[in-house]
Amino acid sequence: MNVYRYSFFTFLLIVALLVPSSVAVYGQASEQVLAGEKIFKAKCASCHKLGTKLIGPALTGVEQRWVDGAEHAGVSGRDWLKRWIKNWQDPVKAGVGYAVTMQSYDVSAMTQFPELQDADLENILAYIANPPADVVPVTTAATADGGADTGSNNTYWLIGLVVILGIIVIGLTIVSGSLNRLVLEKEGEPIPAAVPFWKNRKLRAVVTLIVVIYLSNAVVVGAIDLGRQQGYTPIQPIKFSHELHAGINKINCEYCHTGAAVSKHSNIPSISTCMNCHKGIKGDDPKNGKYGKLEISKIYAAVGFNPIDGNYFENYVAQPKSYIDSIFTIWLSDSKPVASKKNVEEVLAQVQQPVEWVRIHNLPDHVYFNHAQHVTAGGVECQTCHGPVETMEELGQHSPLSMGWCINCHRETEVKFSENPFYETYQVFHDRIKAEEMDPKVTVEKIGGTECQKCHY
Amino acid sequence: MNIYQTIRLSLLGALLIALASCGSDKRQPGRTFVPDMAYSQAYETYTKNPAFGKDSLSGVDSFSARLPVAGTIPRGLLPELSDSATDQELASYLYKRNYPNDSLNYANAGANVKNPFQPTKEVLERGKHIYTIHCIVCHGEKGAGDGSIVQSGAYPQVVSYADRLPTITEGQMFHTITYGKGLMGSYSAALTAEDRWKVILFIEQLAAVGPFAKGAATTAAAPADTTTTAAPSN
Repeated sequence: MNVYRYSFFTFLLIVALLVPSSVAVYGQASEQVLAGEKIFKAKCASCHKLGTKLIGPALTGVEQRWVDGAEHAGVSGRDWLKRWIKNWQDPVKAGVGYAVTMQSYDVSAMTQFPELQDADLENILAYIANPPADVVPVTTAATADGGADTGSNNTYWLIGLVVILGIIVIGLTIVSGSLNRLVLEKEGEPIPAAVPFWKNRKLRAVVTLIVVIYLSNAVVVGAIDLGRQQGYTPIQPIKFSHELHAGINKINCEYCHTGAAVSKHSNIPSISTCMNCHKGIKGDDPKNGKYGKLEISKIYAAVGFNPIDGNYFENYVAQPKSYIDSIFTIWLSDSKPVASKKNVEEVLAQVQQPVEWVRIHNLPDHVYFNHAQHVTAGGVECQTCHGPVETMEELGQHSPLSMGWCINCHRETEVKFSENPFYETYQVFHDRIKAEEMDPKVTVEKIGGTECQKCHY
Repeated sequence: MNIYQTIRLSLLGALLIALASCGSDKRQPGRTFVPDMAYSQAYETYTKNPAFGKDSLSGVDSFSARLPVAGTIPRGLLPELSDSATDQELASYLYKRNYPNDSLNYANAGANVKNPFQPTKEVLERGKHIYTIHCIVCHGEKGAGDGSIVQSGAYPQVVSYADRLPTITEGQMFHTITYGKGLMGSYSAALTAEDRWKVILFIEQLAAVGPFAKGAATTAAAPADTTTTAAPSN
């Protein structure tokens, strides 16, 4: 009891201490800071973060660094900083030593901001000095997980129903048996000796029938499934979530799979496509998804990007592996959740190696399939064949990809015969439709979509 | 029950158990009928190729997909211009990347490179298509820098077109899409030069700059109306 009371008072004490301090933090977010935050987000945030290096250096303490190091020609370091923000070439030309040393960054990439007034610059500096506390929405992930767990499972209901029906059937059989016996007893006829249920001929016939049906069904289904991979969900080298990328972040399928619209193959995106975003999203923020840092580090290890200083390694494949390993070990040492030894080994195994994704959708070699024909000419949505990819955390094969499945779609799908210039060459059909000798609804089958040699040659 | 019945029953039971254990393992691709017709004998694009493996004479990676031979011209594109090409030829910037990725050439490209396309309905439609696939994620539907990954908080704030575009030229935009700038990556692999120019026209329309700017000859509509100015009617 004492323990509880003790912890309760500790809790009260913590609350009492926290409340005024958090109020104080928000109190500091003055108008100047808020105005500065607005400008910072609009103009600076694409290249600078406060605490860490992004494209440009981390800006926390930048004011002090200039005050200490950049006083030159009777002008204070702080004023040189403001002139740097407006036009970085200005202090460099004036020979400010500190500004010249900034050449170690790719300074020329910095935009000039001549439109910024002195008051704006003061606001930005005020924001950098006193950023308002960042409120991280922690609840979203928790509620999303909870929602998935509470989903009811129909299978249990069905099993329960079957058990209940079974009990009713057995009960009724017993009741009808005893009623029959009662009738026979009343009429004074001899009661037949009770037959044990396993010797009951009717029951044996029914059980045999069920077993035969089950076995034949299993054989047929098994034979049909040969060579089909519906539901195949291999473990991929990187825990890439299509749900996070295509669903939550709404990245278009063709952003990564650029080949689908123009080529036979829908390509596996190269790592440089990942780096378009992951140069900036390093996964060290809990907002960056469940696996974040560990999985993103595998990309860096494959492509040769140093996540600590934000640059690509020079001549990556020629670097000694031990050196690269040491850098990634340091990078992973402060992950949250903590990276286990196995996790780190997985990342290090990817160093200087291509990512070997496991192919899921695979038609037999004797079938020709062309993505561009379906995506560009046919205008078929990716989801028609690949299923709701934007909801799949782990990608699996949605459709059977069987010949019957292809043929069926070709029979049912109507092509945009009159609108799409791709079908202009079917001159006879166009003429006949014009003469009303032919149904204007043209399916893929009608233009030869079920001919053997369309896909097998 | 005689011995034969027992044997028959136990065989049936064994068969049932064997069939039931045939349950599909989603981690395995399953079995194939006539595998010699299903799997390619030739190395396919993404398969590992020992001919280019670490131990081979010819290379260090194991990729089946090789770089095209130097001088290969992709279908639909013209040959690269020679270094002695005239300024006029170079000005199109459509078929040759004659400006390497550095800040000096960023300025040069900005001064010399002009969009070879006119903002026709087809061009703008194609530009919009490209924009909704490749740009909208970060730059947002209206180009305000509020795309879905910025809104989700995963990605740093992106500069809005209205803020930035009036200070740069279309040549610099092209250079940026080709090579990337700051956090933005290079889109030269994803977009042909032609598509890059078309999306630039669409972006200029979105931000009401360039040919869509206030008082520009090609636009008659009110300049404040950024999204509908000369918009293609769908």
